[in-house]
Amino acid sequence: MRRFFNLALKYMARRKLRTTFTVLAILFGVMVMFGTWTAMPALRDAKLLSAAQTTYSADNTSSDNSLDLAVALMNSFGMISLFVGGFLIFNTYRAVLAERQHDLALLRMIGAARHHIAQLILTEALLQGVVGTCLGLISGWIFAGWLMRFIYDTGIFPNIDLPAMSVPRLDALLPATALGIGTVLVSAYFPARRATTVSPLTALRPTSPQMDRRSARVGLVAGIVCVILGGLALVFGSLMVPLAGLFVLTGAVLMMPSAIALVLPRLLPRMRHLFPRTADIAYGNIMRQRGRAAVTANSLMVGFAVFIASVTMVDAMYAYMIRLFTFHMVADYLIIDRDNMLTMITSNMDGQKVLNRQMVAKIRALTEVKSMMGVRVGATTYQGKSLMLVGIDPTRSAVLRPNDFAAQSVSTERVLQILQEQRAVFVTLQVAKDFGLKLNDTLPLTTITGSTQFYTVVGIVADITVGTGKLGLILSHEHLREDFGIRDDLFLYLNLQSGSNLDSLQQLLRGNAMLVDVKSFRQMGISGVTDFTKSVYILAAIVIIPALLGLINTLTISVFERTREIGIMRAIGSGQGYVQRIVLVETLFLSVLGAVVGIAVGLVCGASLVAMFAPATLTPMTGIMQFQFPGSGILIALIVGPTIALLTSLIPARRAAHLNIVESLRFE
Amino acid sequence: MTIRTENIAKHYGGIPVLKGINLNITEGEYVAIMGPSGSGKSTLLHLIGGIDRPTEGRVWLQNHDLSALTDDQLATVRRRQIGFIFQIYNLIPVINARENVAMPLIIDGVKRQDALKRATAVLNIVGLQDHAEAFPGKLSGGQQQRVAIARALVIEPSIILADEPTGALDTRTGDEIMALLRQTIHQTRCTILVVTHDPRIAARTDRIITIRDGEIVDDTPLKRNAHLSGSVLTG
Repeated sequence: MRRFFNLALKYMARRKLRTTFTVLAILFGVMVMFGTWTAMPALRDAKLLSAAQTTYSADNTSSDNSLDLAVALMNSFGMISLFVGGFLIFNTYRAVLAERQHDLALLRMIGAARHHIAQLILTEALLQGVVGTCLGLISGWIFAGWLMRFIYDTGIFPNIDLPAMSVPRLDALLPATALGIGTVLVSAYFPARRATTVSPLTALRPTSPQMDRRSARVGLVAGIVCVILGGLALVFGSLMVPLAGLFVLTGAVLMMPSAIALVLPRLLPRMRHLFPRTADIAYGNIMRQRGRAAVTANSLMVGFAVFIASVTMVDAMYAYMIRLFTFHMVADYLIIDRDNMLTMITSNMDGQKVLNRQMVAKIRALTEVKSMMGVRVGATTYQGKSLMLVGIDPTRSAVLRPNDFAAQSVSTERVLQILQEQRAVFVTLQVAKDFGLKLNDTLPLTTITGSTQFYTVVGIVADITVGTGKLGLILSHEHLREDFGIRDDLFLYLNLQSGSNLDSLQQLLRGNAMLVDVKSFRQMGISGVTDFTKSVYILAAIVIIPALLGLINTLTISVFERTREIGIMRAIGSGQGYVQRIVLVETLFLSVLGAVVGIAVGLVCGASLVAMFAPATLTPMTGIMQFQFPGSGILIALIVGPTIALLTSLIPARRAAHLNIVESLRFE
Repeated sequence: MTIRTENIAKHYGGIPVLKGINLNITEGEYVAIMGPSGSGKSTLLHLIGGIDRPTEGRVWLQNHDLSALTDDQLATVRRRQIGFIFQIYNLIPVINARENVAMPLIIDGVKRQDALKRATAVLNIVGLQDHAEAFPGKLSGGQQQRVAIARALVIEPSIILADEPTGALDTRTGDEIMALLRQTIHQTRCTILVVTHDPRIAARTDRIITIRDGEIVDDTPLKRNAHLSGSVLTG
C-alpha cells in the first residue's frame, strides 16, 4: 500500500470537501463509542469504590442496570452512527470511483494490475479512516468527560466522586480504533473491488459512465428480497424484528436505481408544469446517470430515514414515559431501591434489587402510612417459555382499574377477590395471543420446587403488554410466595395521612431506598423526556450532516462530468440562472424521491428500534414502549427536508453556473 | 520478431472492426498506421498494447502470446515493456509532472525516491527540467505531451505505441514532438508504432501500413533510416 500513499494523499488534498465528509462520517460514531467505553467503566469503578466505603449498601456486586442500560443505549447509537457513516462512505466511494474512472483506467493502461487499483483506493480509505478515527478519539475523550459530568449531575449515583480523566483505557481505545478504521475499510472495499474491473480502454473514451442495466436488475432483485425479509422480520419473527430496519434500508438502497426509473417518469408531468423550461433537461440528466442519481437520492434517503427513525423512537419513548408517570399516579409516593431508580423506568427486571423486608415491615407500621401496596416480581415457565410473574395485593390494589381489562370473567371487584382466594391469574393480551388462551383456561405452571400448579385465567389485561421472552402473568402476593418463593417487594406505592411528616419515613429508608413524590417525579420525568427528545433531535441532525455533504458531493461530481455540456449550453445562450435552475430541479426530483422512500424506510427502522429497546422498557405495570406513528415528524421532514436539500445544492448549482465557457468547452 | 499478429479480428456488438489482420514488425522498426476514421487503426494499436483482447486470433509480443496471459500478467507486460502515448495526454491531474512520469515505476514497486530520480532524468531528456513540479493543468499541450512521452520512456520500453500523438498540437509543436520520438528511437532502438492521419509524419517512418474497413489494404516499406536524421523535420 505504501507505493500509493502519495497519490492517495494528493487525491484527498484535491477533494477537500469529500475528505472532510468521509472523516466526519466516521468521527461521530467513534466519538460516541470511545466516549461511552471511557466514561462508563470509570463511573462503574467510582460506584464500586463508593459502595465499598459505605455501610448501607447490601450488595456491592449486583449488576448495575442503570449503567448497563446507558451503555446499551449509547452503544446502539454509536453503532447506528457507524453504520450510517459506513453506508455514506460506501456511497461516496462509488461516486468517487465513477469520477475517477478515467484516472484509474489510465493507471491500468500504464501497467497497474487490478490489485494495485484496489490498493490505491484502500490506501486512501485507510488514511481517511485514520484521520477520522483519531479525531473521533479526541472528540470521544472530551465527550467522555461531558458524559460523566452529565450522569454525575443527574444524581443517579449520589455517593460517588466525579471520576478524573486520566490515561485512556486500552479496552476502549483499541476497539474504538479498530471499529473506526475497520468501518471505512469495509465500506470502501466493495467499491474498490468494483474499481478493479475498470478497463484500460476507459481512459481512451472520455464519456460518462452509464448505469449498468444488469447491475440495476441485480440490485432490484436483491433489494426486493431484502425488503421482503425486512417485512417478514417485522411481522413474524420477534427475535428478528431489530433486523427489519437494516434489511429494509439495504433493500431501499439497492432498489434506488430502479425506483428512479419507475417513479421519476410519473413525477415528470408535474415537474414540467412547475418548471416548464428546466424539468425535461433535469430529468434527462438524472436518467442518463441513474447510478449517480441513485447515490444522491440514497444520501438523502438515509438522512430522511435517520430523522424519521429517531422521531419515531422519541415519540414512542415519550408516549411510554407519559404512560409510566401517569400510571404511578395511583399513589402519592413511590418507594424504590436507589439503584433501581433509572431501571424502573427503562430496563427489564433482571438483577433488580428488592426492598429490605424488615424495612418494609417498619414502614407498614408507621402511623403516617395511610395505605400501602407492594409490587413483586418472579418467574416461571409455561410450555417451555419463560414467563414473568407480577405479584400484586388484590385487596389493596388501586393499580388495576376496570378499564385495564380487555376481558374478565366477572366484575372487577369480584375478579380481584378471586385472584386473592384462588390459584388464578390475569394474563396479558400478548400472552393470550401467543398461547391461544381465553378466560377460564387452566395453566400448569412450574413452581419453585419444580412441581406443577394449575392456575385459572380469570382476566385478560389490556394495559400490560410484554416484550420478547418476558411474557407476563399477574397473580396475588400470597400465591407468588407460596408457589414461587417470592416474598419481597420491588417497589411500594404509598399514601400518607394528610399533613404527615416525612422524617421518620426518611429515617427508615436511610439511603437504601428512595422516597419519590410521584407528582414531582412525573414533572421531573416529563422534563427529562423533553431533554432526551431534544438530545435525540440534535444527534439525528448530526447524523444528517454527512447525508447533506453526500448530496453536495454527488451533485458536484455530476456537474463536473457535465462540464463540457454546460459549456455548450452556455455558449448557445443559456444564462447562469438557467444552468443553476437545472441543478436545483434535479435536486428537487431526487429529494422528493429520497423523502418518500426515506420516510417509509425510517418508519420501519423506527419500529425496529422501538422493538429493539422495548424489552428493556418492560416494567411490571406499564408494559413496554410501543410504536407511535410520527405524524408531526413526517410533516417536518416533508417540508424542511427538500428545503434544506435545495439550499445545500446551491453550492454545486452555483459552481455549475459560474463555469468558464471557454474552459468548459475544452474540457475532456 | 517484436510484434506478430495472427489473423486477429475484433467485433464490437457483432460489428467487425478488424478482420483477420496479419502483421510482423521487427525490433527497432518505426511504423506508421494510417487510414480513415473508424477504419480500425486505433483498435489494432489497443490489441497490440494488451489493453484490449481480440475476438479472434493471437497477438505475439516479444514471444509472449498476449491472449494466453491473465489480466495481471498483461498489466505487467504493459508496465515493463510498452510505452503509451495518446492524443489526449492522459496525465493524472492531481500529481505533478515528475510524479506522473515516475508513476509506472512506482506501480512496479521501485522505491519512490529512485523512481523520482529516474523521472527527473527523463524529464531532462524531453526538455522539461524546469517544469518537473508543475501540475498537468498548468502545462501547455506540447509540454503535457512531452510529459506523456517521458512517462512512456521512463520504463525503457521495448515498444512505444503512439495514437495520434500530435493530433491535439499545432504543427510546430507536433514536429518537435515527433523529432523527440525519432531521437528516442535513435538512442534506444525500441520499436515504435504511430497511428496518424498526417502524411508528413508517416513519410518519415520506415513503413506505412494502411487500414481500411478493418483490413490492411497497403503495407509499404519506406527508405530505411530516414528517421535517424534529426534535420528531416525542420524542413
